[in-house]
Amino acid sequence: MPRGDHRQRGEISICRPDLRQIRRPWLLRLSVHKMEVFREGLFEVREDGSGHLLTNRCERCGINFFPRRKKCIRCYRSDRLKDAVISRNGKLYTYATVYQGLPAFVTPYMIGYVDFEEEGLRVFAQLTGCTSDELEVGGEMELVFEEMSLREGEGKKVTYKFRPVPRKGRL
Amino acid sequence: MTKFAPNVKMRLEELGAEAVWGALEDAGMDLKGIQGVYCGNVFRRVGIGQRIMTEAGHTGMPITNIENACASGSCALREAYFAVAQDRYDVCLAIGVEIRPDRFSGPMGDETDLEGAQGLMFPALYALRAKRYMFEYGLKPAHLAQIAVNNRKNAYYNEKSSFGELIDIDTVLKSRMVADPLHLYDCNPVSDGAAAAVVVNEKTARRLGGKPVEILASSLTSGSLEAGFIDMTFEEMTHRAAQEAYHQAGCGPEKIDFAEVHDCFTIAEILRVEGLGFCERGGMISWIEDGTIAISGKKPINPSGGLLGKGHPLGATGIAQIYEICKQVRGEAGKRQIEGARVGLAMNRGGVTPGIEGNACTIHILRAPQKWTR
Repeated sequence: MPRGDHRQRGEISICRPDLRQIRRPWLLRLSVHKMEVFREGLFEVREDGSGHLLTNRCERCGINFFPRRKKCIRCYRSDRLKDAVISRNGKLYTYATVYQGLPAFVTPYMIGYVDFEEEGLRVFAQLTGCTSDELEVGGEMELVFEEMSLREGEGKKVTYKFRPVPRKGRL
Repeated sequence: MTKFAPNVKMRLEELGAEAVWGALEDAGMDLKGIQGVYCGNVFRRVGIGQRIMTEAGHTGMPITNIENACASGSCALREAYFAVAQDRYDVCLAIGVEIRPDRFSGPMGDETDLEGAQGLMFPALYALRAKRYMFEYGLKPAHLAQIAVNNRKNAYYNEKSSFGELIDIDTVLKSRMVADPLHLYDCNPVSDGAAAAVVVNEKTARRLGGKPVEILASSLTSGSLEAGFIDMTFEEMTHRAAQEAYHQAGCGPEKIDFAEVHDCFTIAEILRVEGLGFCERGGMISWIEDGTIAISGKKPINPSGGLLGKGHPLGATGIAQIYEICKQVRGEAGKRQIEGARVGLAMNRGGVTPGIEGNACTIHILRAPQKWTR
């Protein structure tokens, strides 16, 4: 299907979902620091694949922000803003499997919102490391960093995603 | 309004002019009486109002173009309403028009949109809301499907729709999955169209005669920027707009006979009827089951067929809702006629910005006056 930007260059891009792009987090840990980050200022990821989301907090109002804000949304000031991070697990608020998605993405893909109760933050991200049957509302999710599941020719970018934490006592 | 159909073979200006001429004919007045124009459109970037008025045949008056995503049309109406209500003009024209561009992946697909760039688009967002609502209230896919069945059936009796069909729940559930749990039939189809309304003050209404419909309320809100968790099963933006509208109209939801509600997806109709305060949270499930929201029911929703039944030309939808309300309260809705319809509510909304519930929610309440003049 012709896309707007390619039309300008006189090319036609054929979208072929690449099954080799199925996420393999263990492979990425070796090279993730070399890939382009999806957007600056949202997260930091280390060479071993671990990392955290970058948040900040207004000490006056006791509210956290993700992404980081320049002014608090309650007192409208910046003097008590302090940088913070989230690196731990959250709970799945809701999820969905997208079959007709953005043209750049391999479909189907899974998305959801994960809640961090203590910080009062709800974060949107793609979900990974499982099939849609394995997801459940309220399930514990862990933060991972992976390649965005983009089609061939769309480049390689790293973003944050969530995957279910395996439950104790289950094989 | 023009008939809403996919791939309309007209220029945007011609489409808009058709709607303008139709509105003037209904009002019984000439183009030269128009003192101000407000035009709602999303995708055409510059000067669409001026181009439509040039095509229609009269310009020189103040013309303002308005973009508020899918609520552009009702926002245009709101501006016309306030311009006349505040005595700036006697007569204003509100237009809404849209021809969908070839590939509408939604404004959320942009790289600058944090969530859109990671794969959140409209059907996906509503799928997330549906999933959570199912978790909290026990909603089933068949309930969602029934809304599609209702609205396609209402559209079947609407000559302004191209998507009217008599289908059953199975048709919906067997249509291809777009974003689980939303199937193709749970989503509004693509269509183009235009609608226009002439807004006049009381003295002009008396002079013109005919069947002018009273605007009792016009409210507009944007989503609130709050700390903490946004509840995805209750629309606070819709709720606030509704409270403001009821306050202006001097009545509560119990006095509304029927409503046109922005049903871009089946789950959207559920969330919005509850956001309007027509029933309690979770209450739509029994209303779907017992037919309360059908045309023959106690609280008919989307008698025109809504967005699911007519499609959704973004700029035009808001004013098309007003068109249906006028037809209903005048007793001119044919096979879609709601018995005793007198007070109607139009709820139109649009746009998504990460961090808030939505860009704009507009609510209008209209009423048939006691006596028609002439």
